[in-house]
Amino acid sequence: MIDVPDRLALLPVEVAAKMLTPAVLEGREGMPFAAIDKVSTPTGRRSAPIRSLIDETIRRFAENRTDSDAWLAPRLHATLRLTRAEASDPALWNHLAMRIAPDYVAWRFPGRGHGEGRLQKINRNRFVGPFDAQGFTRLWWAAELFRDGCDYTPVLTACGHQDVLNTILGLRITLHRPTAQALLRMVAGGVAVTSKEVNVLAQAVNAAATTLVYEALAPDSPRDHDASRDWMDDSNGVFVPFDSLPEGPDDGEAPATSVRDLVELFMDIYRDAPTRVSASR
Amino acid sequence: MRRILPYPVVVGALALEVEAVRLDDVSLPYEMISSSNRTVALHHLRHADWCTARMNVTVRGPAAELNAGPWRSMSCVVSLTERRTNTHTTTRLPMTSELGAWSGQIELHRDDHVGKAELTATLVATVDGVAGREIAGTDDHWTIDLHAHIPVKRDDLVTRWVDFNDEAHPWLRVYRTDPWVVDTSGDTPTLYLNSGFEGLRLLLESRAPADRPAKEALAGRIAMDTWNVLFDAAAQGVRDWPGGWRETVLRRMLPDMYTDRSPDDALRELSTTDAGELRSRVLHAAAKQARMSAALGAYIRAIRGRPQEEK
Repeated sequence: MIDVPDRLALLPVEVAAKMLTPAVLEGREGMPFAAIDKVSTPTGRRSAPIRSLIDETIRRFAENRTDSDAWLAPRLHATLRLTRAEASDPALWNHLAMRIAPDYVAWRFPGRGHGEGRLQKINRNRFVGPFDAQGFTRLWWAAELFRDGCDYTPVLTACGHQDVLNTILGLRITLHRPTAQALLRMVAGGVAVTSKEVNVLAQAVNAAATTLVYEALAPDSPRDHDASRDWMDDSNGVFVPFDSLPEGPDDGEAPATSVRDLVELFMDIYRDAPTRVSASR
Repeated sequence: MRRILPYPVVVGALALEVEAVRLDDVSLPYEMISSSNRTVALHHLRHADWCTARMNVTVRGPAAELNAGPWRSMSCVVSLTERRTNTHTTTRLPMTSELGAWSGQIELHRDDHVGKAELTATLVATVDGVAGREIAGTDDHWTIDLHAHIPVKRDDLVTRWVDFNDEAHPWLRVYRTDPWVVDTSGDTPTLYLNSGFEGLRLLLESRAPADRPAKEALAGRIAMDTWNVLFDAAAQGVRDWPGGWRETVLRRMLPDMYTDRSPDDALRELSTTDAGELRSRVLHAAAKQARMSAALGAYIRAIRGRPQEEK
């Protein structure tokens, strides 16, 4: 069991990156906790709620770690109530991955060993990496960008498909909420299910965005920032349920007509896509 | 560089202007908006804890061309984008009484932004029966800088003299025998020059005419190395324009790497180019960037003129 500090802290990228030596990534040496504590700046946020969430995740999904993403993402988001500005600071996530829960990262992303007898090396991006790859940011941002107002249900669809997390999350087009919701609706509705189908859909819709302006065709409504603030102010002492889906910030849903219009448009784009893709192979 | 699209697009320029900014309910002094630098500085000491910045913006297109063209149901949207916070807010502007002009107010919420947001405008229309086509975009975006108190464009690269042997920088000690190191892990890439490397500073700061050829060769070498590292960091796992300095680097180098491709196509090509071939293309583009006299001059000036000493 890890002896975890009380508070989440900020661990700067340049220091964190240098600590991820091959020996640490291969598990031959432990994380240098003492050195991390020396260079980290504590925040006001308690680590205990996150830690118990991590313990529960590892316990519940011992048999199938991939399935844990859809369970953990909304709960992580509802426990760690951050503004996007706060969430953009990698230092918080570095500390979470390297100091609070390195066991989770090692469990969820064991890495691939090359050849017989070789040690398995964890991909360093899972500790310190881009938002769509780092062990915790990929889930937090999936929850933030794919939730529909306070409803986390679309997040379950997104995190239930590794291809959505690996492909769609990193695309700029999904920063427009109706686009993200339309894509997820097609995945949830069985239009694109397999890995190949999800990738073809994402690529086709992304490519069409070079000439079509989805933001103009299907306008989003402004998010209610006061509602988000209220939700964030609630964060101390909030109880995040393990057995039912928590509620997110009630900052407004993507307009239903916009989502519907985009689903219709994306269906046409997708229908034309597979032939083109298979022909080019 | 204009993209070639399979339908008629606007040839004339689209101009975007930020005319006034209010932080919550306080007007920002006019000096904090610079039309020539296309930058708005939002850091105002007396109103440091603002929540919302409201900006009045106007977009003007070539009125005669728009009027005569084949475009129907024209509309104008402006977008505020910051890749670091994954925020992309789009607002539709109402048309004004002036032909080919749109004007309105956009909002920037501080909770959603942290550094620099890009402001762009796009004209959208129905063309050949297809709705929502992009027919024009701004060539030059505005930067809304949350930390600046004067509206100047900030460098995408910081240069620092540091003694790599100094205990204050444990991560640099590994490189203590190297003359320079480029660090791309932070928000702004940093070129660390080793002041503990004998003769390096003396040569780079020398004003003696006899040292000039050596100094320029060295600065060129540093520049080439830097572009190489910046490219690798910017292109890592990239599927879409990454924003910030990474995008700046890619947009500068890709045209030299894929001379016959548009920037968008070149970006897509990246992932399919074989590693060896990619390396030689990167080297070519880095050499070209390093050779450009302006870039070289800027490097020497950056190295010489604004050394930020770190103790």
